[in-house]
Amino acid sequence: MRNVIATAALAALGLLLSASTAGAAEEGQQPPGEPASRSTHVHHVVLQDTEGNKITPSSDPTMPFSTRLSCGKCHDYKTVGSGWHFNAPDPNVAPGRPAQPWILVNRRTGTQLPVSYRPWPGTYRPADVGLTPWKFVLTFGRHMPGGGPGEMTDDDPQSASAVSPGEADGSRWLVSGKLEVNCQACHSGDPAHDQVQWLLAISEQNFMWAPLATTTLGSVRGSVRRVPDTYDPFMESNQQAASKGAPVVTYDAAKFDADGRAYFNTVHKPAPARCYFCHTNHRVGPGAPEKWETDEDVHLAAGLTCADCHRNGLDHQITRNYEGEAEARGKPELAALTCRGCHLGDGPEASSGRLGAPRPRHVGIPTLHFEKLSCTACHSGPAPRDRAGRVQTSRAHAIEFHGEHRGDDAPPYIAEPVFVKQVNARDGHEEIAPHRMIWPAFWGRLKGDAVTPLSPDAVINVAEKILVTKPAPEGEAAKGITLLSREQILETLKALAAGTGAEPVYVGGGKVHRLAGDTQLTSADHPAARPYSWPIAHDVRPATQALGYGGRCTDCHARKSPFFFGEVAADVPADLGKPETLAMHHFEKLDPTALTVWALTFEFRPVFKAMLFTVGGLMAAIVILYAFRALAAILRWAGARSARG
Amino acid sequence: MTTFQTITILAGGGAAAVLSLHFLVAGRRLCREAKAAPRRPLGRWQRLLYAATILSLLVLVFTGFWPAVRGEPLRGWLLMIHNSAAPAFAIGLLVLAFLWAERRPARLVESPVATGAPGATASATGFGRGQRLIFWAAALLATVLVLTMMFSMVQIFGTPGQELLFEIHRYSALAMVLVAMVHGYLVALARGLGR
Repeated sequence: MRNVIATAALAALGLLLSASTAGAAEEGQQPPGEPASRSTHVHHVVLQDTEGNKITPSSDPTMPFSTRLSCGKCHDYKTVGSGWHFNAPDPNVAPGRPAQPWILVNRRTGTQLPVSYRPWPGTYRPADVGLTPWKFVLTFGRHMPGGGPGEMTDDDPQSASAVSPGEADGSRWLVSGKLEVNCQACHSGDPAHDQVQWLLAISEQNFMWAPLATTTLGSVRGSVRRVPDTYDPFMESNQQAASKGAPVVTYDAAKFDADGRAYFNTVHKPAPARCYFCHTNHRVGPGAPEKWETDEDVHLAAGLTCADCHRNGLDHQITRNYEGEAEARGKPELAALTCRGCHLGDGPEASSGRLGAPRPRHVGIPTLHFEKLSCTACHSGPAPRDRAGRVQTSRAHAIEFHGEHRGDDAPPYIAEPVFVKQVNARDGHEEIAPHRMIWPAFWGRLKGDAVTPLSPDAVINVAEKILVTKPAPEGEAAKGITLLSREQILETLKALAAGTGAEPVYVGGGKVHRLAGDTQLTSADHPAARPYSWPIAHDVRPATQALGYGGRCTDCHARKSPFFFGEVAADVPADLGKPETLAMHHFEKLDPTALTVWALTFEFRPVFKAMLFTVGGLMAAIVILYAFRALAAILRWAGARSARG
Repeated sequence: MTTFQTITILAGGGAAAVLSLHFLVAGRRLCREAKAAPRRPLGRWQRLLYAATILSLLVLVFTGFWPAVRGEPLRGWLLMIHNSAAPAFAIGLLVLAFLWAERRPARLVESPVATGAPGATASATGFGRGQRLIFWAAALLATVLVLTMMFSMVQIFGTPGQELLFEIHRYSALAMVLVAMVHGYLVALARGLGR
C-alpha cells in the first residue's frame, strides 16, 4: 500500500514538473533558466508546430517544428531573438563598428551594391533598393540564421517603405510561414546537420520547413513555390499536400523516444564548422593559394574555438571583440576579450594570459607602431602583396555551394587586404588596419548631390532588351563572366532618361557615369562611388609571420613595399576600361614622398647602426676613462689633505 | 598635459629664469673678468666643428621638443630630420670630446682655480670650472642619448624595454637642453656680452 502511494506521489510530481516545463512557452510565462553546469544538457524535446500542436511522426498533416515553441519552452525565444545575428532590422540597436554588408548582385545590370539594415556609412538600406523583408529573405536568407527580416511583418516600417503604395512585392508569408531563428544552425552537434538544406528550403520558399530540413529528424519534400497564395498547409492532409506539390514532412520515428520526444544533438558552444558556413573567406585570382595551402587562424590551430572569444549569454549579443566595443556597449568587461585584453591584460580586473594567450614581447619594435597600427595590421589577414587580391566570402558568394556559377571571377569583387586609416572606437585615435573593400556598382538617379539607387528589377524593366547577356568575347569565355559593356551602359542610360525621374547615372569603378550627348559618357568623382570597406581580424597569422617580426622592418619600410605602395583596383562587373587603381597610402592618408624618403633611410640603416654604435661606444669609453682619472685625482687630493691635516 | 610636457616647460622656464637672475646679480662682473682674462682661441677647424655640432644640437632640440611640448609623437618629416641630425651631433661631440678631453684635462681638483692659488683665474686653463662641468655633462648625456636610441633599434628589448629606453632618452635630452642653455650662457659671458 505504501509503495502504491509513494509511486502515485512520484508520478504526480513528475506530471507537475513536465507540465510546468511544457507550459513555459505559454504567454506571459518565463522559461526556466539555463542550467549553470558546464556539462552538456541532453535535449529530449517535445516538438510543437507554429500553432502549438504537439508533433508526432504519425501526425497528419505532419508539420515542421517551430523553434519558437519547441526550443522556446526552455530558452526565452524573444531574448535570444534580440541577439546580434537577428537584430539588424531593429532601429534601436546601435550599429557598432561597420562590418561586412550584404551585397546585392545582379550580373545583368552590372550591380554590386552593399546593403544593410544597420546604418553603416556607405551601405544602403534594403528598402532603398526595393528589398522588402520577403525579397531580402529570398535573396540573402541562405546565410541568415533566421529571425530578423524572416520574422518581420508587412506592417513593419522598414518593410513598408520598400513597397510603393499599390505595389505588390510578391510576399507570401501566409503560405511560406516565418523564417524563425534556427537554433541548430549554430548549436547542432550533429555531424549530419546540413545547412545547405537551409538554402534549398529558402529557395523553395519553404521558410517554416527550413529548420527541420537541416536536421536528421525528418525530410521535407515539395515546394511552397508550386502552391497558390491561398494555400493553407495546416488544412491539407499529407496526401493532399503531396498531390499539389506542397511541402510534406516525414519524420524519422527512430529519432523519437517512447514519450514522443525528439532528440537534438545540441551543444552549448558551437563548433567552428558551424561558424564557417557563413564566415569563410576564400582568396581567388592570380597568385591565390589553394585551400590546402592556407592555414587556419592561429587561435583555432592552437585549439580555441570561435566561441571561446566571441561569447554571449542568452541574449546572444555576441561579442565582436574590437577595441571600443566595451565603451560602445557600456560593458567594461568586454575590453578583456579584445586582442589586448587577452594578450596584454585590459579591462577591469583582467590579466594577460587568458585562455593561455602568450604575452607578446614585440622585440625591437618602437612603441609608436602601437599607436599608429591596430594589432590586426601586422597579424591578421593575408600578407600584403603588390596588388590587393580578390576574396570571396560565404555571404557574398555562397562559396559553400557547388556549381559552375561559383567561378573565381564571380561578382561581387571584394579586395583584400586594403590598409585603411580608421578611428579606434576606444579612444578616438586614428590607426591603420586591414580591411576588405568593395567598389559599389549600381544604377541610380542623380538629383542635386545625391544619388538614389534604382533596384536592378526596375532597370531591367526599362532596358530589358538592352541588358541581354551576350556571348563572351574571345578569351573571356573561360572566365565565365560577361561584363556589362560600355555600349549597354550608354543605351540603358538613354532608356532611363526617356522616362520620368531625375537624371540617370551608372555608378561604378569609383566614378559616376552620365550621358554626355547621345554617344558619349562622362565620368566624375562622387561620394556615392567611393568604396565601402570593413575591418578584418581573421585569419590571424602566427607571430613569426607578422609584419616586422624578427627585425624585418623592410616588410613595410621599403621603397615599393606593398603595405604602403600596393595597388587596389576599382573592380566592378562592368567593362569601363582599365579599372582605376589607387595605392594603399591613399587609404592610409599618408604622404608617399615622406614614405619613400623614410624607406630610403632603411637601406642605409645597417651602416647607420654600426656607425652610431661605434660613436656611442667611443664616447662611453672616453667618459669612463676620464671618470676614473677624476676619481684617481679625488683620491690623491683626499690623501694629501689627510696627510697634511 | 603629460608629465613630460609639464617637466619640460617647468625646467626650461626655470632654467631661463635662473640664468636671467644670475646675470642680473653677477653677470656684469663676470663679463669684466672674462674680458680681462687671457684667451686661447680655438683653431679654425675646431670652431667649424663646434658650430656644426651646436647647429645639429639645435635641430635635434627643435625637432624633438616641438612635438613633445604639443603632446604629439615625433613622426614624419620631423623624425627624419631628427634622425639625420643625430649622427652629425654624435660624431661632432665625439671628436670634440676627444680633442678637448685631452687638451683640457678635467683637473677639477688640481686646477689653480679649485685650489685657490693666487692669480688663478677661471680661464687659466682655457675652460673655466663651469665649462668643464658642462663639457663632461654633455659628453655623458650624449652617450646616453646615442646608446638609448641605438639599443632600441636592435632585437634586444621588448615593449617595456623600449618604453624605458624612450623615457631615458627624452629626459636625457631635456637635461642636455638645460646643459646647453648653461653652456650658451657661459659662452655669452665669456664673450663679454654684458659689457
